[in-house]
Amino acid sequence: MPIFTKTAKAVLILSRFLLVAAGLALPAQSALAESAAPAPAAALPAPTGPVMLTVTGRIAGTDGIGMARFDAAMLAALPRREFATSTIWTEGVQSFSGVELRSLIDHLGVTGGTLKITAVNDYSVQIPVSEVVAGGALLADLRDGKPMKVRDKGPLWLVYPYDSAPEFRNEVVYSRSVWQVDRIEVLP
Amino acid sequence: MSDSFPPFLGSRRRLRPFLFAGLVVVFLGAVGALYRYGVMVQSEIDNLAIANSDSLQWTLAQLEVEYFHMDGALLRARPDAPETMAEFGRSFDVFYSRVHTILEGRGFASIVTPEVAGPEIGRIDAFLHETAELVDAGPEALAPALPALRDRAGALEDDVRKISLEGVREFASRAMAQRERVFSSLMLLASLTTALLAAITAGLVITWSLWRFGMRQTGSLSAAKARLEAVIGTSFDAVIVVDHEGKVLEFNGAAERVFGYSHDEAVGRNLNDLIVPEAMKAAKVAGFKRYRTGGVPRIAGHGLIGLQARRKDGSVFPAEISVTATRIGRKEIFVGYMRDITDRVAAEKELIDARDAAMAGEQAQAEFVAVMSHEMRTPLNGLLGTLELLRETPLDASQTALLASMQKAGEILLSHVNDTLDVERLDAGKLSLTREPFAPMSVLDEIVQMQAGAAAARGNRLSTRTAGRLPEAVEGDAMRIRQVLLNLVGNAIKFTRDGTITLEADYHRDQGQLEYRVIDTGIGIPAAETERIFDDFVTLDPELSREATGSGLGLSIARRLMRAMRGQIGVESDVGQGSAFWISLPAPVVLSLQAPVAPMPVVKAPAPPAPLAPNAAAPGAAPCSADDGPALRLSTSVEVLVVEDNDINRVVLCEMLRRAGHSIAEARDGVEAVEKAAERRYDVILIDLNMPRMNGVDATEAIRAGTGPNHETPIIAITANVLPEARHSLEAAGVCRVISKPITRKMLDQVLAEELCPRLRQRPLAAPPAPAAEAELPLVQAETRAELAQSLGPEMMAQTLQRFLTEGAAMVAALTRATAQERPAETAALAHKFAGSAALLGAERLHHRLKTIEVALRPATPGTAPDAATGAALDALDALWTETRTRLEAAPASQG
Repeated sequence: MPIFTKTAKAVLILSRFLLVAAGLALPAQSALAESAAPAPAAALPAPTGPVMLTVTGRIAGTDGIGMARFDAAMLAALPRREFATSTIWTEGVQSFSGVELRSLIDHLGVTGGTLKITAVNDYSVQIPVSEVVAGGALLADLRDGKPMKVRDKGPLWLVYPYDSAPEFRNEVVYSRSVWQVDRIEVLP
Repeated sequence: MSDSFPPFLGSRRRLRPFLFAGLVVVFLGAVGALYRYGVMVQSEIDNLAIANSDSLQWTLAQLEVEYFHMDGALLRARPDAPETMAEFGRSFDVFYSRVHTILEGRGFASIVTPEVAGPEIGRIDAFLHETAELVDAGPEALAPALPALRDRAGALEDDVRKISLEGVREFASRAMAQRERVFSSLMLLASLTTALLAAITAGLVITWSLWRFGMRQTGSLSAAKARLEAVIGTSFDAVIVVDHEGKVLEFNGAAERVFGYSHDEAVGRNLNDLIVPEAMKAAKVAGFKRYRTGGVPRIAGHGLIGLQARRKDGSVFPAEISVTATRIGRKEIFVGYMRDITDRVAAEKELIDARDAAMAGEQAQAEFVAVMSHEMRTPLNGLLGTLELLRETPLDASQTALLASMQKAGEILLSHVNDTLDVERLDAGKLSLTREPFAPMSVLDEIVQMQAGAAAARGNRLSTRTAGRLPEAVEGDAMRIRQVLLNLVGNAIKFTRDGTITLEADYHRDQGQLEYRVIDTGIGIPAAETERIFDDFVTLDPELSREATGSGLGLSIARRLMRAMRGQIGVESDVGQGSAFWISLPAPVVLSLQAPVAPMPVVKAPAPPAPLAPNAAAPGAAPCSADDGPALRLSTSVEVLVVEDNDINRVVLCEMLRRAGHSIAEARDGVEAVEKAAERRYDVILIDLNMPRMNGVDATEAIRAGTGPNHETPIIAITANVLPEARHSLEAAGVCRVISKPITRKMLDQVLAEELCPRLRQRPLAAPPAPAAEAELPLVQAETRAELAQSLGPEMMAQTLQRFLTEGAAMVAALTRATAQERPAETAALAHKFAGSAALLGAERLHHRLKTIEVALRPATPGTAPDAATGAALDALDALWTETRTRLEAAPASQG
């Protein structure tokens, strides 16, 4: 057991360093991708307000090269969920409201692959679609009922119900809790 | 078994529960501790698994990165290029967010404290707030402030650096602390594991030692079993073990031999079917059932018991069995040890037969001795009588001396024979005792009278005295008491010279015990001998004893007699001082009715001869007097009829009487006696009881029955063998007195005096021999009654009268025609008894009537109606009784 724990810890630490390295290396690439973003798919409605989230990659109806953009109203129209939890980055318990990541990818017809989620500050994580389950990650757009600014880790914050179960209180979950989310790319 | 174990096994056995409890506690403690520390370690692991913080170093590193991003964007920002302004805004927001993450995040509390990096973070925060306002105000408001912002942002570089470095330092120490915590937890876990391992090892050691203990136990058990099997197998007794239902569990070699079954045949079968005889099966089954249901066992635990057992071939034999019930675990088993005792039983039977034969032989011998002793008495009697006659003839001096020796020897021989007969009779239980009223003191007086001469011969003074008040009369066998006392007084005289011998009578009213003491001042008896002297053939002074009567049986006979009377005998003695023999026996106080308590009707020496005035009209009037000795003698001559079949005895008797001056008539048997008695009146008749043709009893009855001249004459029976039980029949027949052979002159004189004096004195025979009619008699003879009153005293007289009246009523009711017809003998006896009472009180008419009835009824056979005269007498009895009673009741005052 201790040996395992040690090993696990070593693996975790190692992966963290790799991620740091990746995080340092990514901004340039993503900036390129962003500039080459394709037009949104005809099947998806166009946003009318400021775009809060852009989803690209292998999403339905786009043959893997489409793009979906969401404004606040569009996100509000999707199935929503709300829970209250504390986080290790903030003080006190807050209520988070938004769209479950699962609902989102279901809405977009994503069936497999990996989600690469990127923040305004270019922090980025990859989450296998198979690990995106209902009752898990929430793409929150409201904190305590109010929209979040970039300074308050908005506009979107991928949060988990940390308080509800220990399985949501580990490094992997914390590392996937991306704030200031503005892009998601569905990788094969 | 125990020899293979150290001696402290016992204490270890006692400690075992504590040891076990201790082990359990240790084990539970270890498990508890293990659980507790396991949980601790688990939580440590959980702490590792659950990250309480994101990667803090990453966040700190990002702080610097995002600071430089913002700083870079600020440098590039130009009011004329809006995208640069927007980029600054975005990078500012990111930095802002990062700083706030540090300020608010859980993992950074130790860094943002004032002591560590408080001022730095404060400055950064202030910058952020001020700049945020500018950024929010829009590009127009921001543009002019850009140069100042650049300066301020540049100044923050050191602060940001400081926070980063502090973070590195802080997290390094925090990691170390966590590592140490994990390390200590792991150490704890390791030590616990070690402890557990040690406990398991200890458990293994204990298990191993228990296993070895068990092995040794098994070994010694099997050794013990082998030994036991050897013991049982080689036992001479059959050993059979059965369970509670009687099923055979063990059957040893001896059992195989005794019962004939082999071990394999017997084991597993029921004992009942094997060895219990058919006849006893039911009882055996019942016994087992009773035992099982909690009853009391009849065989188990009762030691050796003899019973019948059955062999395989069906033969039954006597066996001795001992059964023990024992418990093995919860099951009860019975272990039986059995032995064939056929030979022993046969031997025992032989022994018993031999003993019975021996006892029969002894019995025969005893009887032989008794018969021979008895047979010796008659010729001895003749011999002694002849010697007495011989002494009366002219003899020279030497002849007289020889005669004296012969007489002495003859007397000793006679006393031996008498002693032998007494012992035999007492031992055979043939002695029957009478219970009759007697005056306690009169017994002593008689003895003094008889022994005074012998005592005086040895210079002894013989006297009597009473301790306390004696009752007038008690009930008991005076003759036997006299016999015992005579023996004691005889001994006292024998062992005392020139001393005093005191006879004492005492009565313990509370216990109803009559006590006599014979106290002498003789040589005494050593203390060691006081018990032994009552044994057979014990003579303390052989010389002295042999010289006298000492058969050595005297005291042993006395003790036998006392035991027969439920009394005791004992002695207290000091050597040289004297002895005090005592006898004590139960003797209830009675009112004397049948035998009047009267002073001795004789005159004792040294009173001068006091001849009673002979009644001229009475031919046989016999005044009596005492001669110079203590013996009595009639002072006048009387006419005697001697009836005796034995010629020698008759001749001796006649000669003795003739010498005493009496006139004699002789008869050879009962028939002749009756004939002679019918011819003329005699003063007294001496009659032998055992005679051919007609015996003494029948002859007496015949003489009494008629109205002949002798129907009231005193009749004295002579016998060689007085059976006490015969006395009543003799009395009923009318015999006044019984005397035992041999008859001495002295005895004859005394008996005649006793029998004739009171009669002559009290009821002079001056009256016609038989009153012609009852009517001529007085209803109540006042003189008789007065005399009685004088003898008894007023109180006693009143009691006696009352008793007579009470008794009389019952008597009269019982004396009827009917009873006379049904039970004539019984009625006669009643009449006789009632007549005695009547005579005592002077009721002469009643007495006469009763005598008539008695005499008439005595020979009658049951079922025969009484003759007319007797019937009439019976019928009129009631009237006569009423008359008599009235007279008796009417005149008490005059009797005072």
